[in-house]
Amino acid sequence: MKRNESIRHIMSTELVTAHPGERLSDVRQRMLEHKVHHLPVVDGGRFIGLITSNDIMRVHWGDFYSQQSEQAEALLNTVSLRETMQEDVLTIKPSATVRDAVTLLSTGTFHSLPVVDDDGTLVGMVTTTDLLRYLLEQY
Amino acid sequence: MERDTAPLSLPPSVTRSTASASQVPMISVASVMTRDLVTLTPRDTVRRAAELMRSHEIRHIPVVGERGELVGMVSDRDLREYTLPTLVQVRDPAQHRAFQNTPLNELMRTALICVRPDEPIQRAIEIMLDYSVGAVPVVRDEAGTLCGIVSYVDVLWVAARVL
Repeated sequence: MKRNESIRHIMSTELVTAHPGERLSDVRQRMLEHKVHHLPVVDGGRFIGLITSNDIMRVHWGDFYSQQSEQAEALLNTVSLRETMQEDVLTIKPSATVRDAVTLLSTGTFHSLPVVDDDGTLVGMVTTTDLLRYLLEQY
Repeated sequence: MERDTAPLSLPPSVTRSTASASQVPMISVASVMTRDLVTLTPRDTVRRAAELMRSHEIRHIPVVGERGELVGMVSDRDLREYTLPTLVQVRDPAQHRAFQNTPLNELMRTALICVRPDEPIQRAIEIMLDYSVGAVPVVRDEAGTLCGIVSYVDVLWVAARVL
């Protein structure tokens, strides 16, 4: 096992993202299609926030998966993605190690870490699933 | 459920493999699982489960029968459609309150994959990845007597020390 493995080794680089001008109903649809619970929000490649299925549920009430009513869809389009997303998000640099990511995510309060370089550009995402898979590979 | 933020030493049951210096140590489920369990019964309500998750800051609670045998699991995700009011229920709070009295046996997961305390944590990690679950119940015998729960946070806590 290589100690201090770079975060680049395990991060996902084929990213599904959201953009600040999008409708929340479209963002919700993308989450369902890709079976993810959070999407990084980028503006011209720069990371500006994170939107989660929980954030969207707070807007349209009810179940994220099953509720398809016109009322719920209409509610979703009354607020912007920028108003709904989380902007105060912990990120990690591409020069960080797997161990750094483990330390941040082992608090259990969030499941994903955007990997952002010095210019503010989103270069990857690391999730708790990526870390568990990496740990399993070490055996 | 709370953890110290100070770095922990490896538990006594952790032994470093001498076969290869490149391997991470073998670690048993027993050495990382939570033993001080919060449990519920099938007749408990969604409201009770949600209260316990909030007060203990946990996302998974095992449901046990009269002999302490594991009969189900509930997660915060399972409760979400019951605890967040729908549009109709916002207008009719009484309906939402009644909804929260739903007994857990109507929604708990009963198709459970468990581990034994003496199994290596790799087995628990495989279950988390294969079944997309955040926590795996630990049972000590064929009767399914619950003795612990191992969550992805427990596993990452170990990873922080061995990687």
